[in-house]
Amino acid sequence: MGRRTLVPALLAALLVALVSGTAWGAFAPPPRPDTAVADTADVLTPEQEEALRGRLRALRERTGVSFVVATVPTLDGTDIKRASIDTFKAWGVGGEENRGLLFTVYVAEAREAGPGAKRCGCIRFEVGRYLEGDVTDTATKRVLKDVGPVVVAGDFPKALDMAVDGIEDILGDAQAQGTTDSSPRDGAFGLFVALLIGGAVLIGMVVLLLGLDTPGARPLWRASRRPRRRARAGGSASGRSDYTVPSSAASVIHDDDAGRRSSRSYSNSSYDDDISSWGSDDSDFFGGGDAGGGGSDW
Amino acid sequence: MRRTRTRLLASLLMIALPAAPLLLTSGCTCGVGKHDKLVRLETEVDRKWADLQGQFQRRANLLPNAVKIVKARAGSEKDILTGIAEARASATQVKLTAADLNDPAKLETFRASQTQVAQSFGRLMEIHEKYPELKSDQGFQDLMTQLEGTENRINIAVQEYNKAVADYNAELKIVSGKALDAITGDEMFQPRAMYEAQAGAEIAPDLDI
Repeated sequence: MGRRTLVPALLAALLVALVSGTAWGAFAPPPRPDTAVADTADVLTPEQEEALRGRLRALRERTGVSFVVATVPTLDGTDIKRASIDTFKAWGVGGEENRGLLFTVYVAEAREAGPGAKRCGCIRFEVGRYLEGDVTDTATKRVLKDVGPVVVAGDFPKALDMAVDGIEDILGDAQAQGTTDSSPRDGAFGLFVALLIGGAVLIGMVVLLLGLDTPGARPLWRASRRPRRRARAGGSASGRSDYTVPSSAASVIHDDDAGRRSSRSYSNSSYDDDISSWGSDDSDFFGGGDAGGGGSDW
Repeated sequence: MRRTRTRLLASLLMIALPAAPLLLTSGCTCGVGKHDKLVRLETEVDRKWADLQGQFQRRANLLPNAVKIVKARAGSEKDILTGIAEARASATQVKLTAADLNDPAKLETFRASQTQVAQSFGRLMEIHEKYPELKSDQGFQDLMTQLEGTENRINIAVQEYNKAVADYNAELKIVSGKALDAITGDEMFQPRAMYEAQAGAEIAPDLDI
């Protein structure tokens, strides 16, 4: 049995290694940028870059969507769909909420196609899994049909602006129907449920521990009972009766609270985020985002 | 004397009672951890297969729309219409689970129905140059975009499914997995088959429209 199954297993592993090796191919995604405008082909002036960034930050404030635009020197012969999704996944576009969008221009391919080309295989929208309902393939395709001629004519700054216009329109529509706004709230609800369950489990464990104690174990019984009472009193005083944490762990609660506040400020940030805190870092656009092949190219 | 003895026994019990589960758990952790990992990987395989199946379904769901468009813009293409109708009927009937992929007969019917779907779309694309009205129809252009997106999703879902299978099968082959199967009766975990895309089952709707 052993040898008979081992050989196919090794062969399968080899095959997978080969297949994935060719799939990743010549094109390697550029390193993860720290700005939402990843101009790796260097076709934008710093002012244009800053203006685009401002728009993308504002879009994120309004809709919770992390839209990253990128210019890449060349595809190196790799299929544009492959290159685009590899880049999307490598960067994790979408941040914690996994609501990411990536627009990429491959500059060499655009110049090669030249003005007047009907298609260039040089621009693509990649749509994160959680946005596929709001940003459909046909909607992105319509934007690309307008952007494409501008790209092959070589006006990259204008093309990027038009791409942002297009997505603003699409998301504006979706928001008017109330679909874009729902998921951040779902996230907060999930956190609430998780905390509730966590609290219940903690209570359960404490009760179990007490239940296991025999009368002979008086010192232990007393020692474990007192902090529990104190914690309960403290919990109800601050309006969080579902916590049953010994008072010594109070600092942990504070940390947790801070984390919750900062993660909420992503989604409802139109109220309490001030622009000066952006700094030069858009790292909240990246990490955790996944895509399943949604989007379109031209 | 007797009292001190019971007291000693009680205090020993005090130590042993909490310690026993600890000892037991540490002894089982290895096997349980392995079992949990296999369950997790197997669930991932099933989940990825469900994704993939969903994408095939998504493609088949474009067929009724195709019928509408052909009827409106290329009504004389009767055989295309019947082809689409047949493809749709068989695609909605054949459902597979990830475990069914080990069954060559079931896999074959599934593939046949997917090939039929692909061929229907293929014929639709072949005739589009013949009917200028069809080519310029916004519904047809949208359909082609959706089809292209769906094909891309299928490709990615196939890759992700196959990767999940590779991870799971590899874990299953590692020695302690076999030991675990021997303990649990050798029936619990079965290797899964990869999904190999078949020539003729994919569509490339890369039309200049």
